[in-house]
Amino acid sequence: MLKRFWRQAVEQGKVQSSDKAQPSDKTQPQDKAPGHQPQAPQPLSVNYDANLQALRQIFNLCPDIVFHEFIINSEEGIRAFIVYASSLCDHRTIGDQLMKSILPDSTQKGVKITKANAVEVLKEKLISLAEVDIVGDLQGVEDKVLQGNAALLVEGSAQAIIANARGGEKRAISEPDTEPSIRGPKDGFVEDFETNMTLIRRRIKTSRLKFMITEKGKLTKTKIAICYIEGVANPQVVDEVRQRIERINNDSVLEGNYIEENIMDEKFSLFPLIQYTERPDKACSCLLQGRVLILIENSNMPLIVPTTFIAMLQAAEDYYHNSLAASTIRILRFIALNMALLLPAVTVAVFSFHQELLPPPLVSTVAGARQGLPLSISLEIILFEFTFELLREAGVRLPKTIGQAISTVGGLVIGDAAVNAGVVSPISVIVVAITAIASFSVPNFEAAFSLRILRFSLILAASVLGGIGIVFGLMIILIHLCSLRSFGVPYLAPFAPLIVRDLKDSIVRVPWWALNKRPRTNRTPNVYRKGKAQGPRKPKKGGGQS
Amino acid sequence: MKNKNRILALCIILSLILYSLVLCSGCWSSKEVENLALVTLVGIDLRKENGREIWKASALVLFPQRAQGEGGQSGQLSAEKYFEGEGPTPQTAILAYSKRMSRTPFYGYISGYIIGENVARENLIHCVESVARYWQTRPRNIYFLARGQACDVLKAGGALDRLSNELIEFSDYRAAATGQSVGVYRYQLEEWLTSNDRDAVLGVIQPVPVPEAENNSGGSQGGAQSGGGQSGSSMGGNENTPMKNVIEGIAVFRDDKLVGFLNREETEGFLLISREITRGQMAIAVEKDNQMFTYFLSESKSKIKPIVNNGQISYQVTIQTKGGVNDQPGFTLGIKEIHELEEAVNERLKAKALAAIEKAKEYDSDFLGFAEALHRKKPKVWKTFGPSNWREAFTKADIEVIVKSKIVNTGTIGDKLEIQRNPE
Amino acid sequence: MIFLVTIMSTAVLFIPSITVEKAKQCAWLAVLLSMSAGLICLGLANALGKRFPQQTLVQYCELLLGKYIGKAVAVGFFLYLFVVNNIVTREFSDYISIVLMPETPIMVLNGLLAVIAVYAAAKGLEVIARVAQFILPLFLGSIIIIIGLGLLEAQPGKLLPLLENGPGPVISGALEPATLIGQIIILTMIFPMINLPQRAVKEGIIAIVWIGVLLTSLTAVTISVFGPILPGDQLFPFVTLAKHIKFTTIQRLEFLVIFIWVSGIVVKVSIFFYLESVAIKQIFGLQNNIIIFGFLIVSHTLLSTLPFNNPQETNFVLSNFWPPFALVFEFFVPAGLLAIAIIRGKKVVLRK
Repeated sequence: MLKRFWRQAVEQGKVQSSDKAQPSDKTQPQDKAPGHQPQAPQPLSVNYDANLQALRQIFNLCPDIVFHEFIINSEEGIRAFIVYASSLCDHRTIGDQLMKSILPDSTQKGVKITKANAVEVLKEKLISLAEVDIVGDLQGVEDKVLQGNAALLVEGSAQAIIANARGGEKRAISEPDTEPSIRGPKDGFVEDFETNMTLIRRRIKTSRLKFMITEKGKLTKTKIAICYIEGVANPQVVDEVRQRIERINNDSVLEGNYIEENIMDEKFSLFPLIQYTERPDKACSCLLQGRVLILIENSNMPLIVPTTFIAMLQAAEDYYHNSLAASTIRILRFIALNMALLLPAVTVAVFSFHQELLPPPLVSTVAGARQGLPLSISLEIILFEFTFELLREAGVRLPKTIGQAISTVGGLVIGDAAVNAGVVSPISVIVVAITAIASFSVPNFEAAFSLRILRFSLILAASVLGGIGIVFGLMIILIHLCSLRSFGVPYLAPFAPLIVRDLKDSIVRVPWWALNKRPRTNRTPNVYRKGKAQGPRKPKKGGGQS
Repeated sequence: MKNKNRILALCIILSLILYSLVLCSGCWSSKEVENLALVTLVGIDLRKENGREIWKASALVLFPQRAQGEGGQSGQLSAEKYFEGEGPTPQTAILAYSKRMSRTPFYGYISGYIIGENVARENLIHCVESVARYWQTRPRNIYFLARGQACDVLKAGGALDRLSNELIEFSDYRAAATGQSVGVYRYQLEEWLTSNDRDAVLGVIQPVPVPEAENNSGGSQGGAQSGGGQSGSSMGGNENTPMKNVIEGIAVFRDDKLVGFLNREETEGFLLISREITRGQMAIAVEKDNQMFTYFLSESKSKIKPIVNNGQISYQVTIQTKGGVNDQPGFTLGIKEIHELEEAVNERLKAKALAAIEKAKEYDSDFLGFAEALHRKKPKVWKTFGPSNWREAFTKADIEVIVKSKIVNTGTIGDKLEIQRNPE
Repeated sequence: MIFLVTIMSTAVLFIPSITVEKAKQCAWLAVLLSMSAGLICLGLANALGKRFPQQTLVQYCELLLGKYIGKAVAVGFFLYLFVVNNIVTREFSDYISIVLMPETPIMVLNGLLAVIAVYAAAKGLEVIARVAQFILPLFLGSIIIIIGLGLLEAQPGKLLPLLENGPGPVISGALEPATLIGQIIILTMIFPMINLPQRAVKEGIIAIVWIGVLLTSLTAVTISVFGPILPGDQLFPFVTLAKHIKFTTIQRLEFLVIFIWVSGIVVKVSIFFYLESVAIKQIFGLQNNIIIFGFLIVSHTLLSTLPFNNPQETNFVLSNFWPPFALVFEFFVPAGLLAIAIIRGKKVVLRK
């Protein structure tokens, strides 16, 4: 109730919300922060020393920026210096390739380097290495160097040659930690932007796969790529994504969520309106469904829009297993979701309001076990859920090996001890444990967060009004869900509004030969995935063996 | 803008108040499961003192007990405990025993109600109404009539299991099957009492003293045919002579007044006429050639057909049964002989049905559903009888009973076991 | 879809009781009969909707009847919505407090229901429709399960004899369900807000047929389990039926039914709240949502709690005063408006 008014208020912008402290607000006063001067680009000068001086000034107190002075042409004594960020560049590229090809004692013949033609000649020479570019202003040099390029400035020239020598430390492609699978590719996105693009491109080899790259964050200068397949993704959605990202004006983008919370449809939503994944295969499958991917530099989890509620229950693996097995698993997950949401609340409601619902043999057992316990069942479950959430949080923060020990041992020991000490009843330990297991089997862990919040509120509702409280709570959640949209797509899409075609890939997954259309929810202009009637067929009679 | 803000704030405060109202003083209907006394069976008796009614309610209550020892062995199933109270109405009587219970009685698990004979004779409606109005009762609760006092039945307790369980078990599965009695559900009794074309019956339960031997040995595993006569264990409490409950016979009502009882023979007749028996275990002794054999009836169906001829009403009852012969004194069970046996069975069953009809006419109570059949099939004829004398449609009518029984099972032996007798 | 949930949610609970009381074993025929009444109402709504595709009933009242009479009729129609909503709220809380939670004050239940419904109403028609759509399968499923399992215990003989006392009781028994199904008239308020009015009419017809079929079979099953008299004496025969059902070890299904039914009630109440807010806006020209909804919450919470002391009074009102009142606004007002529109027809349409 309260939330409703709060939200209304915030929507109408009449209440100054402290929760609104999002980066976009913060950045406003920091526009003129030190270290960042918006000014007209200052051109490089012809004077070698002036350039060197200016750059040294810019990179003052930046120990990772290396200035390397040398003479290109010993006859004429043309001085040059190269500047690069040692932390971002590959030393071997610079040493073995760049320097070697520039330095004069190389065996090659050809044009003589003079002050006049130095830039052209060197550019020609370097072209074999990588991207080469020419920049004429200081600002440009600064930016390029900080992106991992080496800048070569030659005496007598007001231009800098920028050579890509990107390298440095980056994580190797490894198995996705958050979404492991048994069958299916084992590579996962990493923090490196190019690698991530490669991982996608490798899977979708068409020129229609587009990356629209922008840069966000005044200080972090993070690259963001809006990735989609032309003709498959709805151009309106792509445009909407682009516009919303354009709108962002903040000083830093360190992770996907910096973007996510700024481009969501709702200011406050209990459910993730934007999906993300660590798996390139899942990302590609989303692209092929006509959705849009937002790749963010230094984040190993690209965002996927639009998304729907049912996506919380889908794992990449579902598409790699036999459809029957996948459907069964999805149904199982759906039940698990419901259990994670409702089980403790239902237990409270049944135990303190609707005892008739317990089977008669159970009721006396349970009531017997609860004799003389200090807390009521609702308090007991709330307390235990709280303890469990603590354990889980502790487990996440601690190093992996210890974390596991904490969560399992802690859970077991505390539960057992609490029962033995007569503090809680075994039934609430069982309920909390089952709930925990169920909540782990929801593949999307963002969803697990919202589940936790909702679970606690439902327990409260149940302890006040019993089953009616739960129904009221669920209705509020349902109304909230129905009002949500993700980039124009209704959040509960295949169910409400009912889209019969999309039900094929919702709680069940029909075999691939029957999934011949892309989901309608994404409003893709290119509906057909493939021709009809491509399913397995039995060989005609006579052809088979006897 | 300012005005709007104030209204908004008002709304927020209002909903806050509502919310805190709910949270603080809430939980009105909440009751913890461990604080409940699970009432499993209620008995209701009535007696008159100085012309005023005094109701006596008794209850069997299940108290959950704290687990002994480790948590692994949680709560034990305790025995049912007995409570009783008195008052001028059933409700006050129930409150009288509730006071002594020290816990909230909970009727969600109640299996049924046992009505004292006196209640059934004097004021059944009061009792049935108060049960029907209470929200925790269920249509499937069972009614039984106690011969004598209901509280005695409750005191005697169950034989092997809890009494409440036994009654449920009996009503759901064994009542019609064994031919002992009927298990009448709450909604059925109410339906019969409110209907204008049928009278009610109830199953009868009665505590009887336990034979000495059974009491010592702790009870024999008697079969269903023994009339539910298992021994009472020590659950019954501390009476001097241990009693056990027997469910046998049927109580017959006319409107809401108890008018009489049916014995074993008539009970079986009633079941054959008005119930469909499946999974039956009714053993019927049949005489043929001065020798007895057992017809083990397993299925039976019946149909009442009203025939109106020149204003004269008659009924034709067709009973079809299936059963087996496992127990016989040496007849040869060939095809022909089986037919002969079936004839004998027909006669026997017909006699039972006729006995029930006879009794019904004697009590002037149409509990067999003849008038109902007339009402349904020939509403115009039925309308000629008024609301007060509709039973005449049954009592004055001729009734023909046709029994078609079949022997479908003769056990694991063929014609007969050839006993070799030494020629002398 | 939305109509189906809207109408079913109250009808399911009360219709068997009321109709059986009057029509005995032929109650199911009465329900079937009332279906045709619903179709007539739908026809009226459709005809009006076609004539005034851009306006709600409240708006063209004024157009047709002049400023003052029109306003009066419009206010009357608003009152109709208001009363229906109040009665539904009261039925809900009565029911809950009798069957489930006797100790809980009715005021709290009413208040919470109103707040939740307003939350949905504030989100708009689309959201309510989606919620209805989401609940629909559960709703139908639970009813069908109850009917199906009830069939196992049914004795069709109890439905005999047919039309024992002639068609009289059947017709009088049909009146009440007719007023409930007649609530489809709210379509006149929704018409301008839907994209495809013709589809709405088609769905309305489907909904009415579904309602008719389900209610008929439900009534028939109830009678064939409990006989022709008992359901009339009970307040909520449908729940008794659900309580009665026992299929192997599956029993005590009434909770499922109650909870799903509550969600249906939430949808119903929220759509009425929405329509009331629309009506208020159009009659009085108010625009401020917060004032309107605040007023509605408070007035409904109070008015659904205070007037009646016990369910008997609710039932009394429901079976005595309610049918004529409902009939006026479900049938006579739209029919009268249609007649006037036809007489002054072309002018009015042209003016638009």
